Amino acid sequence: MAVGPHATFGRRQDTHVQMNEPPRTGPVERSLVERFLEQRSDAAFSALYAHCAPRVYGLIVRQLGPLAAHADDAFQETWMRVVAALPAFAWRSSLSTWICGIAVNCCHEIQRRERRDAPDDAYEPVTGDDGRESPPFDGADRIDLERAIERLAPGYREVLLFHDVHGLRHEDIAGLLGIEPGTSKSQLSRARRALREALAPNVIPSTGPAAKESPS
Amino acid sequence: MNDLTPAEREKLERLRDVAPPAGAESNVKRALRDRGLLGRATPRAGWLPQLAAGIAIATVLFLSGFYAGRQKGDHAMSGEAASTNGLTEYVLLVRESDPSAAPGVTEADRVREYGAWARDLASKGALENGWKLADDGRLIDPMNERHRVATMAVTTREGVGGLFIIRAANYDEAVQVAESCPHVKYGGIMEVRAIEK
Repeated sequence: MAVGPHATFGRRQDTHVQMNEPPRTGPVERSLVERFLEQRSDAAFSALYAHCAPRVYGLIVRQLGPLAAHADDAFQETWMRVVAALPAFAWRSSLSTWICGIAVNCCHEIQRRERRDAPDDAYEPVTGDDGRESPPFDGADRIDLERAIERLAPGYREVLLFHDVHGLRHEDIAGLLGIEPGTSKSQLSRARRALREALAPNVIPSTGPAAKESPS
Repeated sequence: MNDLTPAEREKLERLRDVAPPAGAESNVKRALRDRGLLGRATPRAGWLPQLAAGIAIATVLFLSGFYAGRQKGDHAMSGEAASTNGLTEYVLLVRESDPSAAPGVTEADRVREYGAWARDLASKGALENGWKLADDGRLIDPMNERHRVATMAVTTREGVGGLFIIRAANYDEAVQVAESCPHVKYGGIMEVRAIEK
């Protein structure tokens, strides 16, 4: 079955942030949230913002990739939802992971809005790997790496960002995207290979929009 | 699985954080204020029982005042309501009240004050009706991981303790009526919404 890395839309319209991880929240996050909920002051929000904003903005910018011009809108809407829902946050995941889940939904809404004609076949279940090997990108510079990630198909980019950049577990990613953990693992493997191919010298990259996987 | 080399892993992890653009924090704060999400304290869990009692009392007092006003101003709210033709109906949603905002004020004082406010409105034909809502409810929240927040009580700033229907010439006038309510003076929130028909 073909893997659909080019769309990030499809079945996740009703995706909810539902983490399976045990609480990994440190005292700093709890303290920031408690202070904000108690005061709702500018200063309390600034402290919470300073703690979370770079990670949230980083996730949004990179996940939106070619649609990064909408990052500010997604960022603001993420904070609106975070603050509105914060009193009900149950600390069943880390604060950062929870916020990232909300950011993901905001990004998906923009992606759906801006790419109405996108295929709806992201994250079809796949098994195994085709065994192809690519050289590591140990020597790639940051700009090349950023560009290569931006050009990854959305379905690849998303899983790679969650796992390799933001450190989420496959179980977390599965919860965020409404897919099976095994699908997340397979997508990650293919994403890494696509990234290596894109960064390998003298190799035609397979990460462009027209680079669909052949049915396996 | 194509495992990452240590160098690859380090390069990717360095991409995690991106500083938001200058001004983003101010924009977020402005939007939060516009939505009423910044600038008012959320009750701490330990205060909830006390605050719940305070809010419940305030709501009861408020509605007591309303009924007192209605009894004395029935003439203005029934037959003479026809004279309010052309006015728009607005709903005033009664939200959080902070009992600490009225130190030294007795319940009797509040009853009298709320009553005077309600009678004044009723005498002008501006007060149509009012109800107290049960203290507990359920919030259907798709952003919450369980989708539902049990006990959406009036102890939260989103909780609505009661509502009133008033008549006003326009939105500004309805807002003035809400602002004149003693509930606001005692730290309570009044939400004003036009009723579309």
